[in-house]
Amino acid sequence: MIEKVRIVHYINQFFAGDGGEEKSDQPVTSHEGPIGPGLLVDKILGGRGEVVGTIYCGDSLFAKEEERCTAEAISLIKGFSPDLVLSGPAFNAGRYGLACAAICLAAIEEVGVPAVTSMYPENPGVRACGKRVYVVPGGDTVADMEEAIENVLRLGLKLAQGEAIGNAEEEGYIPRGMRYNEISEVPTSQRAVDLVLKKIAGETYETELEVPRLEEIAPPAPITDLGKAVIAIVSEGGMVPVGNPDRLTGSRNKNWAKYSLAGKDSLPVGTFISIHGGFNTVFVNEDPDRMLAVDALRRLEREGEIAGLHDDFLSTCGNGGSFETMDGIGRAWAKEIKASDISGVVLPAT
Amino acid sequence: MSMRLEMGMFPVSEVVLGDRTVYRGGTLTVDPAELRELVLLDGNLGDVSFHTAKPGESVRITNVLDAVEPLFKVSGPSCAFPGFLGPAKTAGEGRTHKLAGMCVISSTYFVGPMTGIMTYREGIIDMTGPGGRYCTNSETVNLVARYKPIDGISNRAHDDAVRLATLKIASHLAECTVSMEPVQLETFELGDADPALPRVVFVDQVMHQASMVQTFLYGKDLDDSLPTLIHPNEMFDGAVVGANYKTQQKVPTYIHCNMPLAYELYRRHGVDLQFSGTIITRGHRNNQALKERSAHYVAKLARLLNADGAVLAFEGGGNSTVDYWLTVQALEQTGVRAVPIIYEVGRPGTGEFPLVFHVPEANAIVSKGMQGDRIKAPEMARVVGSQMVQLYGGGERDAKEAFTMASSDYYANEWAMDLNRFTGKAY
Repeated sequence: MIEKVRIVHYINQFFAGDGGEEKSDQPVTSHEGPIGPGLLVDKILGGRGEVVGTIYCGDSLFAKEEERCTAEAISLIKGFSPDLVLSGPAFNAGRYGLACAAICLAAIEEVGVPAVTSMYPENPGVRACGKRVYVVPGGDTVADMEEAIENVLRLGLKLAQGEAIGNAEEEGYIPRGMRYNEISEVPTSQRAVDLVLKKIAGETYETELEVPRLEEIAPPAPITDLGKAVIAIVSEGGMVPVGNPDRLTGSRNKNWAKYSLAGKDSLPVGTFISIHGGFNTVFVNEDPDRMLAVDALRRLEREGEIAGLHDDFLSTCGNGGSFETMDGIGRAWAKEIKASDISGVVLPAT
Repeated sequence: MSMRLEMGMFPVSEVVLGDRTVYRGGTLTVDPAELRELVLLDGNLGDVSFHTAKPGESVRITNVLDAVEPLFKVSGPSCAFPGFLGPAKTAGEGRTHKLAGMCVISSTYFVGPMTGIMTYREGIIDMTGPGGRYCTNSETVNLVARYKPIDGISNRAHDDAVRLATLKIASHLAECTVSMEPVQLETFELGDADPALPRVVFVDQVMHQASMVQTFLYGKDLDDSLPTLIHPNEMFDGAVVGANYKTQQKVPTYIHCNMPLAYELYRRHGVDLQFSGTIITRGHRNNQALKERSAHYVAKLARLLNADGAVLAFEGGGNSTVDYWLTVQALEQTGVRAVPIIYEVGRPGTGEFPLVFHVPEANAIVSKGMQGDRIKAPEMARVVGSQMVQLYGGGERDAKEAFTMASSDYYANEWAMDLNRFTGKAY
């Protein structure tokens, strides 16, 4: 238990009292004790800790020369032997928020000292903090300074004392993109009924699962002349040659493989099987063309409806596949396909 | 005309094997010879042996198919487990006796070839240790019926035989209380409630794909079925029987008979809501068109019940999550506020995407926890079932030994986590 937590406070040139935008090229500067909002930090700490030093830098300079400024700030921080590095509150000032993130990251990784920051949730600095730095949410104007400091210190002191940090909701930080299991005090079914009643009544409610936004991908324009197009088959249906030579797994698979369709007019029984653990594979094993439709595509090729069927079939098993793994496989396939003269892809899915 | 079911409870704190079948003072004595004769009568099974397993005992039960809480209807129309033990007359009325807090557990192996999903996936019950809260039945007093298949019997025929035998055993055991006064009597009736209270329906999506992944309603599988109405009392009487061996996701029959959401809505009927109805449907419908048809059908039934809101339960994974979320979407678009309970597929601490599918209308979700915890399960003094087990996606292991289990290897894991209040929290 640290009697009096030694804090180094990082702020920008504006909060240091040097000036506004016109002074945002201010070099990295060190100061014994607190300045500006640091005085309020000391007051709120009330003896539980003290701001032993303040480091500040102009937001513009930091943005232009982040690596050098961070390195300078870090060597100054080391000189104060702090138990905690506190940066901000940055409110909604974007460059300041990014600087706060960089300073905190470096403090943790290079000095090995706990760090915490405060900023408005939409500040780009939050994203820069990623999974490594705790960000306590604050308002977007200076009027919120006192509340922001109170909140960030609450978590900061726990970090400094090496206490275990609980979930984002109870500790008051912005979720860092990880989730863990916990046991609720309230039965699951009761929580569900409580939640639906709130929703029906139009009261504010909170979901237990915030679904992350996915990247929106604009589909390319359709092929204008199919007769000139070479088509490739790819599938997540777990289709492999008998014996599964590349050892794709039927669930939570991480790999993919390439199999040649050159010279094949169709896929009769025995050419491929499915090792997918999530659907009834009996019918596909009897006739692999039910999944991969090589017979149909060859007919289209003969009739001139498509220019040709690509020689390579790209295969994986999607059963229970993690989003990240399958995203990676898709991108790898896209790279393969773009390297060849292929216009379109058919993906039989399960 | 409302349905009224009296459930006469006989709490069981111990099951012992003896020379007759009798319930006295919380102890159920079971005559294994009598049960064996009952089970082998139809000639569909090779043999059966009986074993007990109590909470806290150093016992691991393997090859688990189903867990059935004993029910016997002493008065009123139909029977317990209608469609199996008697004609499919509507159940849920009259008086039923229940041996509460115990389950008959079926454990067996299959001798026919298994492929793709038509595969039994190993489901393990640990009666002690940290695994206990990741599986159901670590807290029930269990009578395990270990079945031996007839040589060369098809998997489907053996599965059907085991199911019927287990339901028969369960009902036969409860029958020994027929002339006794229940220790506790609970009455289930959805009487008049303040019409100003919000109307909430329970939507139960159960699992059905093929043999080994089935759910039965009044004795028939849900393969080619539309979503339909059911009264929760019918479920309490065993109208819904589980036959799904995708162990992690499955609902054991005793949980179909004790659905937490049905109990919760019953508890609050007339208090802060009106329990307006239950809709049962299946997932894994074969294509997008059928999934949409089913989703809109559920929403239409909810509308016909004048529902203001719906709470949803889910037995499934993968492809069937599409059915689930489309149902949520259709309900919301119809004006019925929908709160689904779901488990997360992202593993703890990884930041992996939590769901297989999602719709923007689902902005009020209850999480029943995340897949992927690994549990250091201890060595056990005794194994009931086969000692060598094949874990899903893994190799063969000795079930007596200590080893690190994936949560997915535990029996009815998703439902154990629901009952044990697991939830996912953002860190």
